[in-house]
Amino acid sequence: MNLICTLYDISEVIKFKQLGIKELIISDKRFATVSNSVIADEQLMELISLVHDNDMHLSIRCDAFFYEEDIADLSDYLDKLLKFKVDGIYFTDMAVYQIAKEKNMEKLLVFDGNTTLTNNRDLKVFLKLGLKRCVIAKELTYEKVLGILDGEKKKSEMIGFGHLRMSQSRRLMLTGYQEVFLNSSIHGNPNIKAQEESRNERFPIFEDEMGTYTYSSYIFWCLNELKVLNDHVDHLRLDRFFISDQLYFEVIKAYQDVLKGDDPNAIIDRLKKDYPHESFGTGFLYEQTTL
Amino acid sequence: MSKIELLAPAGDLERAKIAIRYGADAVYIGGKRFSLRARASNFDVADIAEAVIFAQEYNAKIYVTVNIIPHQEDLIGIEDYLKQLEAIGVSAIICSSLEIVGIAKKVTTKMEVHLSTQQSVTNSKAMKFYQGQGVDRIVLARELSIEEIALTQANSDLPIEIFIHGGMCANYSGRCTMSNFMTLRDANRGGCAHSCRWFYHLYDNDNELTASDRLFTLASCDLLALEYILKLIDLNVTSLKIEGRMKSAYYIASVVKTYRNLIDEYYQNKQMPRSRIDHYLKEFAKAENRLAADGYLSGRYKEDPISALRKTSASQEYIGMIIDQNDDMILVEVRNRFVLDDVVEVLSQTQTNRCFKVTKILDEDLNPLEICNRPMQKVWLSVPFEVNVNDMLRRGDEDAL
Repeated sequence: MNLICTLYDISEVIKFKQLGIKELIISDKRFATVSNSVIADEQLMELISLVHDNDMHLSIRCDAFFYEEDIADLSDYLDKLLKFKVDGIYFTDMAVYQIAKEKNMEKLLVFDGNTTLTNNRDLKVFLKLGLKRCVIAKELTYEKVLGILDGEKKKSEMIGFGHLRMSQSRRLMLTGYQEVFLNSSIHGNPNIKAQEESRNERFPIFEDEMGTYTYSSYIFWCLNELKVLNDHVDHLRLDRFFISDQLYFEVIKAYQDVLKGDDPNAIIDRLKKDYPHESFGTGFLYEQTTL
Repeated sequence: MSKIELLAPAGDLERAKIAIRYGADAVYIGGKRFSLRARASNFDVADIAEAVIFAQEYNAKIYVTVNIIPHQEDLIGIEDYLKQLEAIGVSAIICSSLEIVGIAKKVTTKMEVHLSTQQSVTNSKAMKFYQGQGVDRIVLARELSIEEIALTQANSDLPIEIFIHGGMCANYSGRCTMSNFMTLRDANRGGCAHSCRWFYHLYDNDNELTASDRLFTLASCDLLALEYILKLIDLNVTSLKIEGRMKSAYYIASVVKTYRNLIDEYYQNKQMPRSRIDHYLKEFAKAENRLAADGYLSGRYKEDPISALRKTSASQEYIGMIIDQNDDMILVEVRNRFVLDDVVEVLSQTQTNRCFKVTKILDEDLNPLEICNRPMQKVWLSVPFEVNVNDMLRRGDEDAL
């Protein structure tokens, strides 16, 4: 199984390599959601060289929704990514696919529709588009996850760790609230959490220039399911949003250890003990939604 | 240039007929399967067939939503269902899943395939992709400004449909699973619990930012695109869509009628003075029960004028429906309280709305009444002008007498 991790800084490349990671993801806030950095061309070239020199792959998130006035910039950006030999491009908006297809570079694309791939038949439709692979939806039971992955092990990806995205809005909701009721800005602050008035859980709510996003109150993990999943999916993504660096790197090692045969229960117990203030959960793997 | 389509929602057959009688060119409805708003979808195939026959009498069309984001088991029977819809004369389906788009194109030939706003199409390149998949019309994302709609329209030859009125998702449609996470109700299969409309405390680390009387909500105001309708007509978009398959018959009637009149007036006069826009705003106010704004159309979404911090109460404007009449009086099924001497407006299906004063009320046994306060009670009223069965009554204005 290929674990895919998020890179925040070029200095982390070697650390990821030492942990056995072969594929990294970065993002540029001009074209990706929930990103704080703008990557200059020379930085990107240097990074790609370093990653490739270490026999790793680098993907870039390009997962915003784009509007008509963005299309020319998006097209130029895809040209640049092709020229710089990026290994993968995550996207949500089908405009990215359409433009990439016109440039014959659709084989680099990884479709992450967030909620849209919930059955094996839709997955096959997307894969017929000639994509590198597709990310399946997260609101699926364990049984459905195994069902949707059936026969598509190499071309599918699953989110295996992290706060799961609940929603995405174009509105700047936090700024809207702040302008009426608060004195200081909360735009771009990764420490903002929301708590429904009758509930106890707090979930991350984050605003960037492209809008507002909410994430699950708990950190999703699938350490217990990892050995079985290893037989069904080749690409497991470990997301990093709102996760401390210390926890993130410990978790990567934990996933690798379980894949090597270590007892997941012992690792789970240790992580829960070491991070008593974090809430971990298995998402919808054992929770069936209803109407 | 063909006339713009007015597309209305309906949660059941009665409301579908009302929407058509009040001037909708097309009505979209949901079946018992494959549709979002599962609780609003009361149409089995026989009901859909009846709606189609009724619509054809008025030269109107029926569209059926097949817009769930399906799990594996949801797709069972989809081929037969789509064939049935085409056989009974449904003009189009509205769907999200590319698999369902493909099946529709494979098993039907006459029925159009419209892409739901659940796919959040925001630009012409995405439109081109879906066009290549066989989609005949795109319901654009509600997130576009009027300028963005114009630019997108200019770069595509695919017909577009624009939401103009009703509830707004706080988030990109189809990309929100707040309801799944918070209530285990699947938003993208018809179970949305509207968690975005709840109230939330905000914290920066452990410091609370909100006070108890000013909690945060993600909810949007409802959409009221009146100020942009003339521009949308000038842009030659194909269809103007009203949201609200769960809305009442009165809401459907009053909103559809107001847009019908507005559109017809603009096509007839080629212009519309501010006073007439204001008139239509007042008409909409009679049907609204939540805060409304112009959504993303103004392009001012970064200032977030869309946020709904508090809801208003349900409208009490709707008084009742005319269900029968004789030479002298009309029989009214009561919905909200009214009394003798109240001024009542007839929301006519075919004529200009008119007001009258209630001078005589009789119960079904012809006993005189002064107050009508029991919903579904049937009472006889005198009306000094001609009306039609199925016209609705709402509170009127003394000045209009």
